[in-house]
Amino acid sequence: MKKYILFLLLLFISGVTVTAYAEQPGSLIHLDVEKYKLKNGLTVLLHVDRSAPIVSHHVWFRVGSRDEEPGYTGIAHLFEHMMFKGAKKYTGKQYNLLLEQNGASFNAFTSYDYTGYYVNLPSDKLDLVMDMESDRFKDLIIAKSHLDSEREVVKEERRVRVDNSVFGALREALYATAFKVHPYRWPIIGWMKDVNRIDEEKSKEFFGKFYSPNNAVLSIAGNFEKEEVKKLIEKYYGGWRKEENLTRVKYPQEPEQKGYRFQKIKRSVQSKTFSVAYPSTRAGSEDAYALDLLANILGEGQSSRLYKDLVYSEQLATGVSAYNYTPKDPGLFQIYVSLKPGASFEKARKSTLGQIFKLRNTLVKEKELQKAKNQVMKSYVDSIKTIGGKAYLLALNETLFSDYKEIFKDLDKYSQVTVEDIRTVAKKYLKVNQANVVLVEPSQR
Amino acid sequence: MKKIKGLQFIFFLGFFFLSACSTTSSKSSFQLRGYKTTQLSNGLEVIMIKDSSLPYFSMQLLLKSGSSEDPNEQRGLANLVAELLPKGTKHRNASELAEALDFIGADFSANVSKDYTILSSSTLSFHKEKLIDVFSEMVLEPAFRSSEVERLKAQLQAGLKKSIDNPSWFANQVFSKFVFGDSPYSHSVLGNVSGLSSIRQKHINRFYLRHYRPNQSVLAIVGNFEDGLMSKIEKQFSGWQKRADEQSPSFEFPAISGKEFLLVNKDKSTQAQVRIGAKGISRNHPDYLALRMANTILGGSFASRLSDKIRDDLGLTYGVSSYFDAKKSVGPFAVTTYTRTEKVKELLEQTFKILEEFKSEGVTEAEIEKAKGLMKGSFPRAIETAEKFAFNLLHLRFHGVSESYLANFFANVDDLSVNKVNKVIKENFDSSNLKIVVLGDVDKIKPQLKNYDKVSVEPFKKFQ
Repeated sequence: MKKYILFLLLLFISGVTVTAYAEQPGSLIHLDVEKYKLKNGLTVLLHVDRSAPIVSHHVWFRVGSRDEEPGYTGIAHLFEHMMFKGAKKYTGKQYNLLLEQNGASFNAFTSYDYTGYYVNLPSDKLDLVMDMESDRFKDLIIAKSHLDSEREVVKEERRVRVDNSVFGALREALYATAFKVHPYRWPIIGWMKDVNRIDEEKSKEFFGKFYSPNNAVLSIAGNFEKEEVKKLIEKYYGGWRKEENLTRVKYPQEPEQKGYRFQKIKRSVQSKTFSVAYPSTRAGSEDAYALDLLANILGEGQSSRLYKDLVYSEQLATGVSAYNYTPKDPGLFQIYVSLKPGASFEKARKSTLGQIFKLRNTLVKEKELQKAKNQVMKSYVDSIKTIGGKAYLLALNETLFSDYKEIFKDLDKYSQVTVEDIRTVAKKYLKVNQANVVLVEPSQR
Repeated sequence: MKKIKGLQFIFFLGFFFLSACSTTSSKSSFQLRGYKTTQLSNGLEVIMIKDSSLPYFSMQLLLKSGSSEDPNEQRGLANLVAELLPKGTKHRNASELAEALDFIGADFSANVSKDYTILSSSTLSFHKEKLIDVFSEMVLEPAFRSSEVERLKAQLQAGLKKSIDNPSWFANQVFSKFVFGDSPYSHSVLGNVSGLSSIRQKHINRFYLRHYRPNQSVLAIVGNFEDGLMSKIEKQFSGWQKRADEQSPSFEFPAISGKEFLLVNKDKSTQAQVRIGAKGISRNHPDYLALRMANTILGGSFASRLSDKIRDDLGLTYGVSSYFDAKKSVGPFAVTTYTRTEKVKELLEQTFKILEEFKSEGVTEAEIEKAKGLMKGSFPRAIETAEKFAFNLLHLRFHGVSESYLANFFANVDDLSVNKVNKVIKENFDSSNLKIVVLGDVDKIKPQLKNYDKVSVEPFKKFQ
């Protein structure tokens, strides 16, 4: 069955010899990519796709909230907002206006480990877009008035995503519970008091430290002429000054967790929601693949174990999910359970831990594992349906691993996972004394 | 994390605009994807869009009825029926169906809107025959077992009872109720707790028999398949019995006089959700495109007047946007935003001012040029994938709008002039008669509205 699937998939990949790759599902996700570096250290990835008259232009920096210092949490994200407030050639208002006038859509995001800026644009606007993007990466202007108004925007963002969101509040408390030393312990958006404290000086220092071409990846996918685009890249990004002494933060390592942790927070909510999480591994590590599949088996879809148990049979919960989050440094294997109003947390927690116990002690069925693999394969195909999706995926893998080709190995790795591997990682990571349980419960009126 | 899913823990600069569907690049032509349509003898129309770029296959079935067909006493019925489809057929129970779908990596979703329902599912293309089997079984042979009905009702009711915990969603439901009054559009697609309680087996069967009919449906199949697949589709769907069309009449949009406020309390909230509505248009309005352009300038983009002032200059919010909720019958023009509790008054005054200026002064030539660039430039992305294209075709079919809307989008956008747009703003845009919903800490918000005389307060439980 598996080989049959692989063979069929291969027929869709241009430029791949079927026989040579028949045993390697990794080749299922094959994109022709040219990679090179500019003299200033900027890594460039180019992928031509002529399916639509569109180009997706991504610039990612290897900087995220883990690079912040205590007292100034949230600066990576606030700074990302400041990147839209104007540079030497284009003001912030011109930036928005010009891009929209030219039919582009744009946004940016900040994570624990990286920050990405992207523009999706009509193919014939690449010249203009590179002019505008390189302007802000090279010559950003940080004005106090802009910082002050954008700070309010970010605080509003924090209120909507964390303070007035059950899951936002839960996730923030969970990370603060599970991490005691590593910077993942604070939220990407930052603590409110820190967001209030960040000033122009700190922002400028942050820009100087991390926004350098040798700390960035430029990923362009879509309908363009490669040679022309290479000239544009040299023209706009070639003169971007390299920071010779690039800051490399030494991230403190999270010590091994030595006991069960429980945290309860109260909110003005109608029902209880909780999370169970275990210290996991880092992106790309051998165990990550089995843990990903284990998460699928536990919480993906209505035939998953937790759904069948908590939502369908016991009818305690309105929803469940499980997710193995593996960022650059070791992350968290997380389970979220959203209870019905009045449903017992103790009962649901027991059922959840019961499922974990089973996974540690008995093998999953072959069919269950194959189902998880099929789900993963489907999500891979879904992720590259758009040109923006391709540029994103290349940038992500290059940023995390300094090698975009890692993405092509993933399906191989998933396909090699056995039912024994699933039990092994369950035993190794989902330990009773390493559980972090966080509960959000209704406050008294 | 799987390396493809990096988005879970990241924070965006901006919320995404629901750019209802936009359009292309500067050159005035855009080649749409090819597709074929055919009709089965029972009236089911089938749209086929081949895309062999990747090994996937998807099905989308549009049923021409949504929550506006719910009986008054059984609100939530349309959604309940759709969500019961994967909960059991004559041959398989809920667990067996979930297993069959999950095993082939397929998802199934039932999206019920006020006007119509779209059932959709997708898988890798080598499982397409299996998907067609399961999908058609769910649509044609649902069992509606009473144990599943009761289980799902309880599930949905639990969700409604805690829905205030999602303030943005809840504010939308309150807004819908406030602007639509007693019309069939007013209630939430999910229904309400009492409506769900009163649903009996007979209501479910009746709704299914009346609305799940091939001659009231359009099926789109998309992805990697050969022409021969049509015989499989025919085989699976030809047993579906047609029945006389029963289209509900359209209805009026309730009149608004002056500024009418509805405050709903959310304890201890540090932020207030704000919705502002005026009378809007229906989808088949002849000036739909011109009004969409007007809205792009007012609140449909990052550089729009609302976002530029309320977010960028004043820092009052993280997100503000506006849209014409154009349905089969007239829906509202709406502004969606939120701010910290103590700034509600300022946010409202600033927004009202922008709306008034928009009405009295209209838009400028430069703004029109910018909007044209944005609408045309984003068009290819709106229909970039074959699945998105299929959705657009289904949506237009429902509204009886010719697909030339897509084919001629560029030319039609180019043809719009500043005079035309200003004329349609004058005719269709109302900045004086507004219904405003504020969900938040009422004790702190009410004093900020003392200059307005039509302010009512309701408990949130009324909207469950």
